[in-house]
Parts: sequence; C-alpha cells; structure tokens
Amino acid sequence: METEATVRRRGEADLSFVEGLHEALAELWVDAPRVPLADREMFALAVIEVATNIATHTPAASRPVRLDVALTAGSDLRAVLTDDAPRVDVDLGALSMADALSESGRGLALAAAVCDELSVDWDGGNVWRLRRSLGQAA
Amino acid sequence: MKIEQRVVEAVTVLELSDRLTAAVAAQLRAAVDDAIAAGADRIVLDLAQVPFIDSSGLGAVIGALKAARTAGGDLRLASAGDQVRQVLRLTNLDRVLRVYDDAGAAFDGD
Repeated sequence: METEATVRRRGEADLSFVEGLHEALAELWVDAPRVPLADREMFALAVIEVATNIATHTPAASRPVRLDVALTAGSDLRAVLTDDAPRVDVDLGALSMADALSESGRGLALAAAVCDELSVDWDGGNVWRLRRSLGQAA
Repeated sequence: MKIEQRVVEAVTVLELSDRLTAAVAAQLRAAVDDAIAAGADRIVLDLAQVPFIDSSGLGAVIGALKAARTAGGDLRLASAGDQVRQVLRLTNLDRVLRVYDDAGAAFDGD
C-alpha cells in the first residue's frame, strides 16, 4: 500500500473512550479500504484489549488517566497508545492464556497472539506499540 | 447492548445485539443471572448479531456458563460469526464452548 492513513483519539481512559475506538477503527478502514477483513478484526481486537487494560488497571483512588491513541494503516497496521498512568509492571514475554474457566487474564495474551510486535516502554507515560503485518491467517 | 429473551421448548434463548466488550459485560451477566433466578437452566446465547467480542466479553460468557452449571443447567452458544469463532479458537475456549449452528440446535436431543 503506497499511502498511509492515520486516525487519532485522545481522552480520559474509561470504557466509554475504549468503545469510541471502534468508531475510530471504522474511520481508518474507510481510508484504507484494501485491508482484509481478518486483519481488521484481529488488529481491532489487539487495540481494544490494550486500551481496556489501560482503562481498567488504573488504581481506583488515583486521578483520571489520559490516553492518546494513534492508529495507522499502511504496508502494515500499527497502533501507539500513550498514557500518563504510573509505570506498568508487565512482562510481555511471559504472557500465557488463562485457563478455560477463568473469567479474566486473557486480554494481553490475546493482543500478543494477533500482533507481530507488542511492546510497552516508559517515556514519562506508558507507550504501548502494536504492529500487525497484513495477510495472515490469524 | 440489546438483549432479547425468548423461551422455546424449555430452552431460554438470549439474543444479543452489538459488541460484547467490557462496557456491557455486567449487563450480560445480569441478564443471565435474572434468567437463572426465574428458573431457566438450559440457556442459549444467540450471537448472530454480535460482530465483535473481546476478552472481557468472553469473561462474562464464562461467568454465565459457570452460573448456569452451578444451577444444575448449562449454557451454549449459537450462530457465532467469524470474529467470535476466531477469538474462541485463540483462547482455546472452543474446547469448552462449542458453537451450534442455530439456537434451535443447541439443546437438540438433550
């Protein structure tokens, strides 16, 4: 794909904001119509899982977390999610899928499963980077 | 999310419409808990109108499954689309939650 399309959202990291990312993704696909449906669905899953993780893992007593999301479609699919929350303590290299009857603990493992790259760095906030190359089966 | 309930031959079918995510997980659990409290033991979640599920939505489905089994019944899925089936595969839940072609087939013969 020769050109890149980017859609941005910025706001308070709550579940309403996360739901709004579905509309942001729909905007992205309008600008990048050649992205296959399976890639759209799995990239959306990864973005929503990371954003939900940010929205729901904020300590209850702390101030609201601001979240900046940039979604890009070009020769691959990329997302950068930057928050101003305390530094997250997660080992992305040691994620495993939760047991069958567990009701939680699958979000980041799912995101990692459908991305070629998933990373989080500290730069005054947490910077999550996701990348998925196009045309995969899963 | 819209949840419509109907009872067909002693099977309670909950038809869900819209994305099944963290924002609506509690709503689904409440609907299933209400159905169980009203005496339902065979429950089908009809997912034909659910275009997207995430791990939070799956968590609500697992919670509902456990509640139904605790009540001596069962919960089954019907009419799931490609995205839902793919997420079930990725989480290995396709071994626990078989997807039936339609709500009528979910408890056929049971």
